[in-house]
Order: sequence, then structure tokens, then C-alpha cells
Amino acid sequence: MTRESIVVTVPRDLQDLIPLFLGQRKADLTALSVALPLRDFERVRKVAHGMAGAGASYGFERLSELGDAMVVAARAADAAALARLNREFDDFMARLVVKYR
Amino acid sequence: MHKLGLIVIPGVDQWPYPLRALLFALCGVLFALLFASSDVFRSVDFDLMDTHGRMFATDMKFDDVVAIDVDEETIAQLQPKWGPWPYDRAVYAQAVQWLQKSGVRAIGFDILFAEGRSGDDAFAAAIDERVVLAAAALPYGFERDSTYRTQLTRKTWGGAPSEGVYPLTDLTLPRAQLSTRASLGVISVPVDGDGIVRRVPLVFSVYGRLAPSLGLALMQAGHGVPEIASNDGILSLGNRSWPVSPRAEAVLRFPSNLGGLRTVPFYHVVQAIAGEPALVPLGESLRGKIVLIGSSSAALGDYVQTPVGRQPGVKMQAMITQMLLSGQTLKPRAWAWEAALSASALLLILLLGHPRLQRYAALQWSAIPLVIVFIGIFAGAAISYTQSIGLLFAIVATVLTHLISVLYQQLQLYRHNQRLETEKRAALRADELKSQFLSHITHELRTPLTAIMGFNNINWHDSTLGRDHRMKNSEIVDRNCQHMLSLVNNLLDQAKLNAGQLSIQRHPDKLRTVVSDAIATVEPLLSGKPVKLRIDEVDVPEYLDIDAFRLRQILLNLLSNAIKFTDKGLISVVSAWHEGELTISVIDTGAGMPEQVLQRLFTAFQQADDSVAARHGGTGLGLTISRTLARLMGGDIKVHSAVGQGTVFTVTVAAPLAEAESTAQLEQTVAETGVNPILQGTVLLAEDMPDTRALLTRYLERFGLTVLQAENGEQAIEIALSQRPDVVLMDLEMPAVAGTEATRSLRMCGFSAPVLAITAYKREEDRQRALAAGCNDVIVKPVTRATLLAALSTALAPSASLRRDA
Repeated sequence: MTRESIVVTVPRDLQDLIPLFLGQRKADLTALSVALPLRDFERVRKVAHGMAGAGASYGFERLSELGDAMVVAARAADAAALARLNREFDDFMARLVVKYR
Repeated sequence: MHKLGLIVIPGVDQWPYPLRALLFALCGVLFALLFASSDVFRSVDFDLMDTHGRMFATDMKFDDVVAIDVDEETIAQLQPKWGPWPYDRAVYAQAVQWLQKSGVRAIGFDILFAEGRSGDDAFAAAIDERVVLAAAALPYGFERDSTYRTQLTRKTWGGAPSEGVYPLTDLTLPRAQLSTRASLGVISVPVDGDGIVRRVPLVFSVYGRLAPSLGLALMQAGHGVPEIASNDGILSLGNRSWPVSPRAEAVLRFPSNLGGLRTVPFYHVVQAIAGEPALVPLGESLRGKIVLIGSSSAALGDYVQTPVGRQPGVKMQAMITQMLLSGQTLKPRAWAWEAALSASALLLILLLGHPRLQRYAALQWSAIPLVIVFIGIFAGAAISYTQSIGLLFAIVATVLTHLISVLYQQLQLYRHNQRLETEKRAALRADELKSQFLSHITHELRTPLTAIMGFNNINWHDSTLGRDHRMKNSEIVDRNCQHMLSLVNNLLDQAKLNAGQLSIQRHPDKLRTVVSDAIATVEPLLSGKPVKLRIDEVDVPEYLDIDAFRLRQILLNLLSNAIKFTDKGLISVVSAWHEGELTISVIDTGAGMPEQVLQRLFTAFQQADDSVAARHGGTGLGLTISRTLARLMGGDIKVHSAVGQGTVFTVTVAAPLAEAESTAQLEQTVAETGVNPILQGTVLLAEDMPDTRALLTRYLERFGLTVLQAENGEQAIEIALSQRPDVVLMDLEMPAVAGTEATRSLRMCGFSAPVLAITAYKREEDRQRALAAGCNDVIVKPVTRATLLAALSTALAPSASLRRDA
């Protein structure tokens, strides 16, 4: 996986809300890092559900996709898939650059 | 074919049957009345009455009257002694004397003794009060001298009333010498229109005097001249009475045994007088009888036509006398009886024609015969009640009414079948179109889908591709996604239009922006074709009250069509505004269309031809949707085109001038606060995720709504019940109390404002669960400004209006 940055363009009038959104996603990462080793799939499902709902609403479609996939995996108690998705999520957040238009 | 219904009366199909039946009966009676004034009707009516009379005729006893007939045999027998007719009246003198001696009750002569003849002296001497001599009506008047007037006065009575008796112009009297002691009886009988005698006047008026008929005079003579009395349609003599018409006519009820009248040849009387031993009992047999003397000879006698055949005058007079004596008369025809007959026959036929009985074919076929039998029995009962009655009117009215009713039924059936046929054809056509459409749309969807899958696969599996190549592939995928989205949107719009759910939202907007947006959107479609796009405007105000979104949709459709069919030249959009009406023409220099294509251009799922679909794609819905939208905006779309000369689509829509002041104000508000206040009201947002809550709050405030916030279901219930918002946005998955439970609780507490569920779940069962809990609609995340606005506009429509309307 290359370390190119991922650019997401967001309407300028939402600029002041983006820190709140990104803060929430970092909180999600923390929550997942606790819940996954404990195999607390219900907790994972709830976090992923919230992520799926908010992501595309803000224009971060990839986050919604990841959230949706995690909800499916959590329901199936598929720890391996969840681990892969969590890595993708982590990677996305690390490479994310937000631009405003 | 529906127009056929108008021939009767519009809306008659919806009338209740009794009312419709009344209409049929009225028509039937009207036509019957028209027919009733014809000669054919009268003739048939009489025939029918006579036939019916014969069917219900009874026997009569001829006990009281005997006819003495100067028949052919008598003429032959009397020739040697008395010479040819007319005889010396001495023979009548002898006969009268012999009959008087035999003890007859009265003697009537159906022979007119108007002129003097040999033997008159003897005859006059023999005549006594028991003799009645004939007087005959003449159809014209004479200058009558005083002798006539004296004789008339002496032999008649009264001052005749102007009404109530049968009037005669003149009356031929017997010689005065003969009528000194004898009475007079009028032998004339009027005939009906068909020349048949059915009624006989009992009393006549002539020169202001009253004279009895021969029969009545004989009864008077036989009973010592009792008084004739008339009262309320009844004429009476002694203890006998007869119902009569206003002209004192009695209607004769002919018996079935006319042959029962005893007739004696006159020469038998002459032989009896001469002492012929074989005829001795003749005198005895005539005791107490009323005898009528006249001739049935073909040469001498007069004849009348009766319903029971041709009768000689003498026999007719004898029969009339006997019928009067036996009470064989009928009450004259009365309209009330005939109306009752017609009404009951009509009622019967209409009952038989009742829609509930129409399925019994045998009953319908036998309806007319049944009613005719009913009419016959009704009239028979009337005759038994001595009532004369006409049948034809009832029959004609009934048959005509039945025919009209049947005709109406057939017409209705025909129209029903036509309707079914049309509907069937339309259904088949719709089915065919839908099948065509389905196969076409499947193809349309599959094309971009194939591209999407193909390019996506390349990006996915081909690790050798560089970033630029991948980006290019992604663009292709994106373009195909956009195409699919527009296809699906078109389908959804059409479905909404069909369901009448699409509404027009007008706001002050700049037309220029709408047009230039549309042009900018379609420009990439030119893809290098040598076609120029141009915008022209004539007198268009800056701000108009329009639904910019839908107007743009129409323009995009027309422009993309124009680009599809124009390979080179110019496409212009010309806008003009005049007194609240906006006209936008999209003019191209493309291929143009023939007349037959123009005719079905606006039909859903139709394209110019299949080759167009194959070459240019599209759903065939765009123009239908555009026209419907234009009509919803109070206008229309028209098209002019000629093959090879290009096409002009002209859209007209109602576009009132947006008020300058409010427009300016709105512009200012937007500029100052960045708010686009297009809704008003209070919204409760129940959402546990702070970032989503913040985003939605931002959108809601920009729509102009007051936002209340709840972080979980419990709070949502509390705030909703205390603050009563106009609408609730309820996240379905929240801690403590979830959205579905919160909604259910609110509904149980009687909370009636719309609740819109928000969920990231896309499954149908999640949606159904939300609706079952009491949510009005479900918004699936991601929530965009547009989906939120659309859902709220619908939900807020009844309670809180759009700001422009407030």
C-alpha cells in the first residue's frame, strides 16, 4: 500500500464542522482498538454504524463504505475481516487531506 | 360511441331504474299518442274492440221481440194478389188489425210512410197507440211548413236541451194522417268512422224537439208511454235504465246468438189473416211480443254493418229493441278506464323489464305476450262490468315502451362492449409498451453497468496501470454512474408524476442562471461536434417566481435531445417574458422529424423509432416528463419540426414577476447569514452522534428552521411532548431509548406531527420496522442537503408552509 495522501474535498460552509467530524473518527479508531481484541462485536457494530452514517453525509464516502463493511463483518463476527477493515480505516485517516471549495 | 348516450338524455345511465322507467313510459305514451291520431289506429282499435267483444260475448234471450220480414219469398207470394212493392196500405191495415187481435204489445214499422198511397184510410183507421211509425233522419234541412211543424210538435216532446241528446238536422215524418194515434220512432243509427254501427242514440233532438229512437218508442208504446228520464249519464224508462254517452247514445253489446231472433215472413201473416189453417198458431205465438215490420229484401231493405256482420234494417231494429229490453248495453268508453288499463299494462311491462329480471331471457321474450294477455283479461273484466273499453292504445304504448327499454338496454350493452374493447386494446397496448420499455430500460441500464463493472475490474486487477490511467478509468466509471443515476431519476420522476406526487416549488430565481447552468451541463455532450450553443433573452426580468430545479430539468432534456440530433450548426435557447408568461425556445439546426413522429413524441416510453433508441439511448420518458412538468407549471411544450430543417421546442410556463422588495430582502438575508430560508417551522433533531447532529443542525438552520436537539430517545420524547415541534428527525439507532421505541411512545401519547426516521441501514425490513413504529418516512444516510430538503418539504407542507407562501 503506497503512502500517497487521500484528498477529500468538502464544501467550504462545512469547514467549521470538520474538526468535530475528524475528532469523532479518531475516537472511533480508539474505540475499535479496544473493542476488537475483546471481540466485542456489538460495540464494533455500533461504532461502525455511526461512522457509516456520518461519513458520506460529510462527503467522506470511503468512510461510509468502510463503516458499512464493518457492520456486516461485526454481525458475522468475522474478526479477520474486521481487522483488515480497521487497518484500512487507520490508513485512510493517516493519509487524509481535507480541501475546501 | 359514448355520444350515443346523449341521444336519450345525458346521465340517464346514472338514474335509478324507476326514474328511467318513467322516462321510457313517457316516450312510449308520446309515440302512442302520435299514432293514435291516425286512421289506421282508429280502424285497428275498432277491430280489436269488436274481436274482443265477440270473445267475451254472451247469449241473449230473444223473448220479447219478433221481426216480420217482407222478404224475397213474401214479394213472390204477394205478387198475385197485392201486385209489386210498394203495396196497397190496406195490407198493412189488415196486418195491424190481425196483430192487435193477436194481443201483441207493440207494433213497429221499419217502413217510412212519408208519401200518400192507396189504402191509407184503412191503414190510418187501424192504427192505434200501440203502433210506432218510422221517422228517418235527413242529413240536410228543408224549408218545413207549419203542417210539418204542427205534426212534429204533436208527435215529439220537450224543449230539447242543447247538449245531452243526439242532434239531427231534419227528420222525415210519416204522413200526418197515419200518425194521428201512432207514435214516432227514429230509425236512423250513426256509424263509427269505419262505417260500423256500435252505438245507438236513444233520444234525438230535431228543430228544438225531442224524439225517441224506434226501440225506445216501441218500449214506450208497449208500456203505456212511461216518462223518459235522464240523470248523470243514465237514461231510464220506467224500471229500465241504460248508461249513455253525453249524446244519449247507448253502446250495444252484441250477443253471441244473433240467430236467436225470431223472424216471420210477412206473407205468413197475410196467409194467417186469410185463414190458412197451418198458420193459426202464429197469432198465439205473437201474444205479448213487440213486433217489427220491415223488409230484408235485397231490393227494398236497408242494411247496416255491425261488428257481428251485415244486418237488414228491420232485424237491426228488432235486435236493438231486444238488447235495450235485456239491458245488453255497455257504458260508453271512458278515458279513466283506458288510462287505468294503459297505466297498469305499462307498470307490468316495466316491472318485467327491471334490471334484476333481465337475466331471465324467457321472461323478457314473453313480456309482450304476457302483457297483451293481461290487457285482454283487464278489458274482458271491464266488459263484464258493462264497460266498453279500447285496447289498442294500451297495447301500442306498452309495446313501444318495451321496445324503447330494450333498445336502451342494447345500446348500453353495445357501449359497454365498446368500452371493454377499448380498455382491452389500451391494456394490451400498455402491456406491450411496458414490455418494450422494460426490455429497453434493461438494456439501457446494462450498458453503463457493463462499463462500470469493466473499468472497475481493470482498476482492481491490473496492478500495472499508472495513476493517470486509473483516474481516467474512474472518470469513465463516474460518467456511467451519472448516466445511470439520471435514468433512474427519470423513472422515479415519471412514477411520481403518474402518482400525482410531484409538486412545483416556486421561488424567486434568476432565469439567466437556470439557462446558463443547463448549457454548462450539456456542453460536454457536444464532444467535439461542430455545434455552437447560444443564449438569447428578450425582456426577461431578473427575478421570476419559478421552480428553477424543474425548469432546469426541462431545459436539460430539450438541450440534450437537440445535441443528440444536431451534428453541426447551432442550438439556441431563446427566452422571452410577457405579462407573467415565460417562453423558452430551444432551436436546433439538426435532422428534424417527420409529422408521424411528432404525433407520438410526447407519449411515454415512445421514441421516434427503435433505431433512435439504439443509436442515442434514452428512456423515451424525458419529453413526457418535461411536458407534464410544464403543464404543472401552468404552461405546455409545443414542437415544430421539418425533416432536414431542424426542430423548435417551445416551453411556456407561468412565471409571475418576483416582488422586487422581497427578492432584495431575501438576497440580503442570504448574503448576510449564508442562510437560504426556504422552509419555516420547528424541527426536533434526535441524533446521538455529535458530528452528524452538528451537520444536520447546520443544514436545518440554513433551510430557515428552528432546531431543537436531543441526544437520545428519552430526551426526544420529553422535548417532543413539551415543545411540540412541527416535525421530528429521529435517528433509529440511539443509546437508552432507540428511535423506533421513542417514535412508538410518541404516537401512543398522541403526538401527531410527522416523524422522519434517519438510518444508515438500507434494508427494506429496517424501513418497514420504522414505518410500523409510526414514522412517516425514512431518510437513508448519507443525508445530503437535497434529500433532507425534499423530505422536509413534503413533511412540513400541511403544518408549516414554505416561507414564500407565509
